[in-house]
Amino acid sequence: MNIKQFFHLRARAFGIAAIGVAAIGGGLHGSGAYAASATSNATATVVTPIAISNTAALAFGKFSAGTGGTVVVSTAGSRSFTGNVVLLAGDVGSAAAFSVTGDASATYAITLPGSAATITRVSGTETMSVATFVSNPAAGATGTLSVGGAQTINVGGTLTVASAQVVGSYTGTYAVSVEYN
Amino acid sequence: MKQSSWIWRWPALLLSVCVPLVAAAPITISNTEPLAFGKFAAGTGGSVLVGTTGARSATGGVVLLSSGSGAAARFTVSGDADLTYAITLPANGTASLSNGSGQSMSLSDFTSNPASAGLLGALGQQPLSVGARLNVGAGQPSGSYSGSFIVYVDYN
Repeated sequence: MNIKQFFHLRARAFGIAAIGVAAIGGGLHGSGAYAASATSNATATVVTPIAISNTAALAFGKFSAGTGGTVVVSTAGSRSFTGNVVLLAGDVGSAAAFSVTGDASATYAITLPGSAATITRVSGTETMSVATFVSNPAAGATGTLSVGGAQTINVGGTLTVASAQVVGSYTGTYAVSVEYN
Repeated sequence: MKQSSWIWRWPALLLSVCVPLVAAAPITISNTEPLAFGKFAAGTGGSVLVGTTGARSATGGVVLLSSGSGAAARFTVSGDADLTYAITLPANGTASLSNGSGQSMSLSDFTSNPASAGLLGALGQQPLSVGARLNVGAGQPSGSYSGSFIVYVDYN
């Protein structure tokens, strides 16, 4: 071998070595030798479902219809009237009461009926309507549960009485709903 | 002299191929903030989705409570300046949160920002945010749930 051939062989050997290292380097990249990972914690808190139960009915008490009008019961349970209705002292009516339970100190929204509720004469078909529902705490995102996770909502409303409304006992239902804010 | 230049050309090529590979700093990732789904009521079940910005939304009967907000997980990825890297997030159902009493909720739909490939800037660093969906059962028992998940990064 002359000197020129020797250098060519050397050159070829370097070339092969270079390719070999490049392949190993590329292999390290591809096989994830430089990969890294990190672990993160994740958390969630599931709260006690909010619940509402009725503990006292909304009562408009006893009255005579006369030529009609309205009977109003406030959230405090005080009764008033409009028109020709005459309130009787024997049964003064009362506000409804609801017990709300859920997550300690959570705030929640109260939704009162959006339309009038109907009450119907027992053993009859005559009706009166209850509207203008009011509550304490007021409707909207105003409720706040105690540290024990409870609150009482009082509800009042306005009963519309027709002229010469048929005598009798009238009943009906309406719904109040609550949801966490 | 003309022939000796062949000798030095090859080692020069050898070095130019090897140097970038050998000098690459290992890529690293560290977690700086946990993923938080906040407070919610399970109701009839559904899911809580936390986006990479930390914004929270609910599906189904789940009700989010404003008193306990969520947050995206945050990581810092470090390595060689200007290199790109691949991000691998957990597959659906491979991570979950449990309350320590046998009840759990699975994690799915992991998302990240940057999404699947990141780019280390001139300083060789990039923040990475991760969000996910928490699947909540109907009447999921109340309480605190915790768990963990792993995020992988690798140079492209």
